[in-house]
Amino acid sequence: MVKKGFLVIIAMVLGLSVDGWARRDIGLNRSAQVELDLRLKIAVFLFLQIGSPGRVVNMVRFNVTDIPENQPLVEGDFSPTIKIKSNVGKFASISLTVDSSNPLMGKSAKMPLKVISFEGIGDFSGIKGTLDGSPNQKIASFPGKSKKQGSFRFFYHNTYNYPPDIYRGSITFTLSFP
Amino acid sequence: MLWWLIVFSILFFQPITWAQDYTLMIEVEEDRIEIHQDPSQITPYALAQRDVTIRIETKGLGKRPWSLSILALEDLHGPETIPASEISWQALMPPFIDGQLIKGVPQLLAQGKGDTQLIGKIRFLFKSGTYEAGLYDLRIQLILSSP
Repeated sequence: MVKKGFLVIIAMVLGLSVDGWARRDIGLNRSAQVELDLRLKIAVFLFLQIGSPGRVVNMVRFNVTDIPENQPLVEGDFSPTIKIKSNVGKFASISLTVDSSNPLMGKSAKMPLKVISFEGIGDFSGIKGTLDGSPNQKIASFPGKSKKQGSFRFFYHNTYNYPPDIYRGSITFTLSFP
Repeated sequence: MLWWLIVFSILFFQPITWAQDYTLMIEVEEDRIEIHQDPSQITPYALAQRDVTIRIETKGLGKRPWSLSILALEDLHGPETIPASEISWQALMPPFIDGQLIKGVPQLLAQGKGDTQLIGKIRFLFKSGTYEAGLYDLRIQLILSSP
């Protein structure tokens, strides 16, 4: 009997002290107020879009029809839109790199992507260069908190080194932070 | 002497009656609210992980009005400053009403008259924007008052 009574008393004490309310205030002839602490957690994100939104791979075509003297530089028929967005932090930096390690493939020959150059437009103006055929070519860096939109023009540097054919390949852009 | 008693009653009896005691009580089930935003998700708002349950009780008010308001004491502070107005709330049951925080300005959550006992729930949400990743804190007051 004694044990049973002891258990009942404990249960009552617990029942009184834990009533499910975290904060309470009672005001007699005055206002009553309670404080809440709000914490917001924002995750790190990087957003990169090249060309059309969604899982679409856009194509840039170079129509090479004449000798290099008449057509030294051939501009691609499409300048894909580029959008980047990140919230890494204003003191960090993010990098845009390109993988051009896989050459353009024809029926009888391969053409390294070093024959292709690029030039940024819009928020990317001032960024230009030639693909170097490496897997990790850094072409630009931006503040960690960025929102930019523009496009890239691509150019083919005409040579006589490759037989007439249709050459196909792809390049991959990557946005990253250290 | 009797004459003085009558004068005293006329002058002071009514004010004593008006100053009748009243009690205002507020309690909250949650005193810490967390909102997790994943900016890679294309959603207009990030919702708080849990709703906030609020119970209020007023006694002795007679026909006097009461109001319940929410006050943001500051902006959200963290890696950068985010205006408190990026936080709003949805009322999950009447008589609570939806609203938006404004730093330093109490915003109405509910109002009524006389003695009341009610429980309500609200859900805080953050309007997604491009803010730096990290943790941000803000202190809020819930104030139940009667003029």
